[in-house]
Amino acid sequence: MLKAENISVRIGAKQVLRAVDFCVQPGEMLAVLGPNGAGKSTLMRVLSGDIPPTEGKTFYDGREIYAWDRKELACRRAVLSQFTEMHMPFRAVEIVMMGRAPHSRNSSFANDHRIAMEVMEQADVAHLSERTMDTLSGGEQQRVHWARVSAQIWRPPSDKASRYLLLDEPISSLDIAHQHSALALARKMADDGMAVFIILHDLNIAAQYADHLLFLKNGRSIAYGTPREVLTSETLRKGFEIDAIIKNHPVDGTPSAFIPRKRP
Amino acid sequence: MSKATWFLWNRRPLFLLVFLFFLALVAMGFSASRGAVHISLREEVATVLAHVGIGHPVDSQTASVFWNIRLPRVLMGFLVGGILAVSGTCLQGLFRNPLADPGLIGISSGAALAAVAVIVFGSSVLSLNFRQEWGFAILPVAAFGGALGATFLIYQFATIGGEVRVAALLLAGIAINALAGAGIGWMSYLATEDQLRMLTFWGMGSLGSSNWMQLKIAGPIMLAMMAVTPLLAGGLNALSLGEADARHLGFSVTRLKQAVVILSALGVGAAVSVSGVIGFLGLVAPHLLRLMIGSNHRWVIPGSIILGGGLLTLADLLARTLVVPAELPIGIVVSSVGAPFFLYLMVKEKKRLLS
Repeated sequence: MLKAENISVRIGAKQVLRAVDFCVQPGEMLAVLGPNGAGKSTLMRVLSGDIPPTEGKTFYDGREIYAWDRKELACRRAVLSQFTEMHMPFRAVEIVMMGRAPHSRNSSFANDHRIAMEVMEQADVAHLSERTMDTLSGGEQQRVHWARVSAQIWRPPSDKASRYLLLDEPISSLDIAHQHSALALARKMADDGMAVFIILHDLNIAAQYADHLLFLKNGRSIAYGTPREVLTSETLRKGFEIDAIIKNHPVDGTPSAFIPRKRP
Repeated sequence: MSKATWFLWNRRPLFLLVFLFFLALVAMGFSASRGAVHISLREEVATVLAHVGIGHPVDSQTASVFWNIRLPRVLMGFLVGGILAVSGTCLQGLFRNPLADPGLIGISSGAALAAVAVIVFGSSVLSLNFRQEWGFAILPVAAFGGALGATFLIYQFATIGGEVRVAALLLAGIAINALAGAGIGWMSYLATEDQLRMLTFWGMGSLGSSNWMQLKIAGPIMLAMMAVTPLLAGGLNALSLGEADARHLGFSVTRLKQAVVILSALGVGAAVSVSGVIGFLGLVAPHLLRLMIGSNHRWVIPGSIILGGGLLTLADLLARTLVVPAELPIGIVVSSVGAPFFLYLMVKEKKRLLS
């Protein structure tokens, strides 16, 4: 289980996060929503161990994040950053193989390569494996990195230990079809027993795929629960200062927000 | 793809590296045979074998020229070339940019400045006793210190808000090169006639003073570095994704950076202490390799040792034979090819590299 306990972060004089609590069980997908500057990315940096919180703690499997061995945690938890800029022309397959780096002691090259091929197939980039990254489109590059993090926490059937996937706005540069494929993939990883934490901007997509939503505003959690509990016109009024109408998705039945056109 | 083809396909870089190594050996053998005295390959082999106790030595004068002059020089050329190229590769990995070169960003001139200072002031500052006891180590240690200081300064200047800015990196390089140049210039006024000749050698780079004694001091340092740098490959690959991503893959970025800084300073310091400042090799060799086998540091690191060594061997051959009976400083030969190459690289990849 991924558990965030009373996370507060102060940067300079600014309180970026205030006492945020939540947990993500294996098999569950938690989406974090909120306006720009709500503290979503800071929360991601706390969970990935990039910055220590001013107060509060993060636990993986009940063990505090800083008590983990670096490599050991990397075998179990992967982070997909929003934006990865590269200046050296690596091939796509080499990028995906980098995801296997924390396993170098316990996994052979052939095994790593087989896993890389499998996850590239899933991320729909297998046909690009020999291309260098600078020749790929933004969306293709993002799918390659997606495959990299999948390879990092790939779980052999015999291994029962939990895996954690942290995704920071992973669909921002994808077209609508690939957005849904990416989230379907994340959903499948959750269904296979992974705990998935994802930052999203699209409310309706979040409600379609995630089990729970966490709504942040000004560093505070203003709503946390199932999509039906969180995606209400009241939350959206509080969070975005917009008047939204909530309808059910005609096919999936999940709540969807419709925002009336703004008139100047 | 069948299993056998797949096996071979994945080892393409290995075959290329073996081939390059073979070419480098040929270049070394050829370079050692050329000069005022011509030595045949058979004489070279026989001399080496005689020194390890097999067979009989050839005509003693040829053997002596080969063993005492040519061989240490050729070996030194390969080592220095390999070290400069692999330092370039590691620094490029550290700065996440293919334009970093120990000469270009001022690390070599930092080492040279410290070495020159020791040459000029050493006799008046250090006691005779100390010099007699530690004389062999003073230059390499000073060069290492200079290289380390320069690397540290450059990293401070080039990093803005945790990210390395290429413009800042190159500007810091210009500043440090100019500063070291000025320092060496000042010292040349204080130097004696003999010291002055040595200073010229530092400024332009030369393998002319190579001998077994030097090789015994600097060689082990350089060989050790060649043995250690391949261990950085995984970390440098991950670092190319960015510092945060490398951390998320379980690497200690701080330790990785320290290792790169200290190793390249050690290598460049050792190289500069025996051959002066030779620029651009750390830029050219890794770039050519990336064109051939891609960016994976697992191959580029050993590859740049081999290619850098081979290229400097060829440059030394040119330096010795172009203006016979005189000799060109090898730094000039390398820069005449390397500097235009750098310009070409900048023009071709302006957008990608300088953003």
